[in-house]
Amino acid sequence: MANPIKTVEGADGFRAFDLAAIALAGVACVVLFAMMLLVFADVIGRYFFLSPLPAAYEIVSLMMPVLIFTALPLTVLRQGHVTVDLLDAFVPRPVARVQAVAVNLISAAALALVAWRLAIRGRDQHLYDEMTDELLLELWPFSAGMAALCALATLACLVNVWRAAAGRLPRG
Amino acid sequence: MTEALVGFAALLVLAFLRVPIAFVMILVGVAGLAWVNSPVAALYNLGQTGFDAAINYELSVVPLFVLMGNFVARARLAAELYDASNAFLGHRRGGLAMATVVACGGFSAICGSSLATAATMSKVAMPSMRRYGYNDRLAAGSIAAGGTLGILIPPSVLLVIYGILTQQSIGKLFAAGILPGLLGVLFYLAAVRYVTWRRPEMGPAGARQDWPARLRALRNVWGVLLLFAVVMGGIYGGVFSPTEAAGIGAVGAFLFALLRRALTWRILAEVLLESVATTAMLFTVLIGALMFANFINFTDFPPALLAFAQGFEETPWLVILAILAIYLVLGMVFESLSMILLTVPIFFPLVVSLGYDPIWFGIVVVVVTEISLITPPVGLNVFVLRGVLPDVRTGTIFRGVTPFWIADIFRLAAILLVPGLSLWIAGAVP
Amino acid sequence: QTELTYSSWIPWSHPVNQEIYIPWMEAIEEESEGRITFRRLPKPVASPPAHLDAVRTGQADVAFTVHGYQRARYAAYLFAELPFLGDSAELTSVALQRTHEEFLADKEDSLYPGVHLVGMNMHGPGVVHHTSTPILSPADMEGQKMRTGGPIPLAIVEGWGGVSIRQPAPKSYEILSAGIADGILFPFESIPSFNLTELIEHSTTMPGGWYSSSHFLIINQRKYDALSEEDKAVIDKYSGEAFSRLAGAGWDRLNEAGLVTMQEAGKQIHEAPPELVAALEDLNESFTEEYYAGAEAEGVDGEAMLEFFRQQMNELSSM
Ligand code: NA
Ligand code: NA
Repeated sequence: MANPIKTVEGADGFRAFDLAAIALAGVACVVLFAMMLLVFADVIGRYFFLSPLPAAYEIVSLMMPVLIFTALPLTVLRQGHVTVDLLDAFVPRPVARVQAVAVNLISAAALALVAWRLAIRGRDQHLYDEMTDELLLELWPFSAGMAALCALATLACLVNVWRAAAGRLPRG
Repeated sequence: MTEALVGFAALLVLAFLRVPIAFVMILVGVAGLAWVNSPVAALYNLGQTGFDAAINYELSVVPLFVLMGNFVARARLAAELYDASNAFLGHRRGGLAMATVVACGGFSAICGSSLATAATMSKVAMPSMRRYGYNDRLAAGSIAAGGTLGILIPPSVLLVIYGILTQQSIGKLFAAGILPGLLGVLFYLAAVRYVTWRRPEMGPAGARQDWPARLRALRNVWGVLLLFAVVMGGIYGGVFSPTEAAGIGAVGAFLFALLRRALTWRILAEVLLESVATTAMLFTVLIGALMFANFINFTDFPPALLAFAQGFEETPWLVILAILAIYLVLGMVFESLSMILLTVPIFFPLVVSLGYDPIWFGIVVVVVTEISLITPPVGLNVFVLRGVLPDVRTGTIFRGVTPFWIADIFRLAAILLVPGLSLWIAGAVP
Repeated sequence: QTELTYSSWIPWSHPVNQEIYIPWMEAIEEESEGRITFRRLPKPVASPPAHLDAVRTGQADVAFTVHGYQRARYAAYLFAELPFLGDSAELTSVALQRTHEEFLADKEDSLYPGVHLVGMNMHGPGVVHHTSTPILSPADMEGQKMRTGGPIPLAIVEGWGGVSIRQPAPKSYEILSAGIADGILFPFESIPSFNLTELIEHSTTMPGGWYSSSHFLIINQRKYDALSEEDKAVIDKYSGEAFSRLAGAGWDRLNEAGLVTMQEAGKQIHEAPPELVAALEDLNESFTEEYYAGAEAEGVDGEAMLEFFRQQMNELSSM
């Protein structure tokens, strides 16, 4: 697994994209920290004051997709996904470059598929008025947001394709 | 049957071509489901599965335990654990390696991830073993192996995932991991003894410490004990659920890091960023594994497998042995989480139908996948160590861990033959 | 020859499947002389609330789900969650089905798009269970940590100063045995089926139930439309009121069995004293008002529906 903190070597035309991905991951960090405090406050409230935070259960479950999908573009950009790199030693450099392009194209296809279907899920949720149990929040903005962030992660894969083709992508 | 086998083959081929496992499983899962159900249904199922996997309260335990582990790794608790173990064991032959194993065991009690355990311990234990002239092989081997204790001794992210996948009590699973985890420590100590008995020069004895020094060192590990007591005591005392324990543990670890002045804004940001990146990675794998499982669900593979296994009603242990063999082979290629997500939905109903205890099977699965972390050619812990210790060769570490994974095979046998090892404590907790 | 895939989000070994949905499938398989068969998927295709969508989009052909999972869309049906509706699931189920047919049958296309509605049923009276002390007055609820699902149990517990614990139903054993929750609101059926008998000491019943819940069974519309007239007739024979009766009677048997299990285990079963009934009646006024408002927002006369439901209950119980 690549170190997620490591900055992308050198600057190229996609520097702004890198920064956007980092900023989004920053949102994920804030959400994770807030989630930790929320669970803590809920238990303390329930145990010592007999009053848990209202709807903490639901809020935590709604924070999860925000946390996961805002961190996704950066994770993709830094090639943070688990791969089987068993054959790496046998793949000569020029082939490895072609391989990196192909792998990132295939990954982009998978992410694009997920983004598209999440968007459809959001459309249906909007159409059928699906909402959460307790707070009665509409669900579609969540799937729409997930779809948009997943689309960004798809773009991150394409940036990787570009960088791999230019020989600037380190092996993840 | 054909569909499932073609699916598995496609999965392996794409994974070997280096496509991230998560994306392979998504693509093969959707394509397979389109084949055995219908393309429209497969596409809708993808949107559904992605959404359901993300909006899930129970799974919040995953990022929170990861966060706890990352805070603990920065809170310098590892150094104190190592010093205390060292004070008692350092003067023996191979004593520093033994201290490493024991400290890893202690660290596992507050850290849910094996990689974090190995990475943190290497920074503490490696320099001192080198100072005393330990052979790199033994030094690195004991750290890589010790790291695997992280997944079995509670808290454990993998046991949580197993519990959520199979609807088993996470509290019971945690309790079940304790004895096999301690047994792991004992067997690793035996492995160190064996190595230094054969070749004493690999682990020379360190300085002996007197009892006042030992007690002083022991006093410093209260932080670890407190954190462990709060998390596990809270779960078993009914103060909070295992899901909530992760949040409480993360806050505890955060406070520790804070009080020990181990946190700067930069380090806090790094800890959080590392945690969310790991979370995003884990959930992509999860969505992929769910998609693949949804495809297998529609094939006649699960009933066929079940019928096949029921043919072994007289000798169910043959089925267990076959499953273990599959894990050991898969473990050469896959890391533990993908392996568990991929196989547990298939094997679990099988094993339960043969009358085995689901908690016991969880421990068996985690121990087997743990072994995969240190076996060649792909051993994640070994690679983590390579990253932290760039001057030690991969081959050296793999040779160093060999006695340890042989010890693991003995432990696996013990867990298989004596289910009580897993079930005694688990039976005593609610 | 048609194979319909059935996706169940409760395990196949669950009593509700054994007692209701599997017999329903077997009746159709037999009646159709094997022309219609059901394939029981080993695991559900989606999360429980997503099953309506899963059947609509063909991820599975048949499933049951709960009106309460789609609170906005099914606001008109939510009177089925109110207290005091009736002690027999068979009767409340039939009354619910008739109310649906009277008021909402003409809206089926918009309420159940893409799916063919087989029928609906109720799970019988909800009961309050406690691990150590009986709940016999609103004051007894104070400070008690109760696992609740759905808005009515939540409002009762919080309305009387208790603490509501939200955890998935399969976690019930874990949270009750660890002491994270002190009690739980469930129909009697769920006590043995979630393995809670040894943990519960006291149960308090309410005449007509503390709360209830309504379920409905659906088939993918295209799959249904593609059936021959003869096969459709087989499904229809086990739909509507016939289904309601089958499912409701099944729940009655399971609730009765749950009660007997608890009595045989020496558990204390209390009837709600008048004071407690009166207190719940107080709360019920606001529950009912809320239901009326919700139904009105969906363009339905909730008051007339509830009135009709009660009238059906009277007729059914006097038979
Ligand atoms: Na651990
Ligand atoms: Na391996």
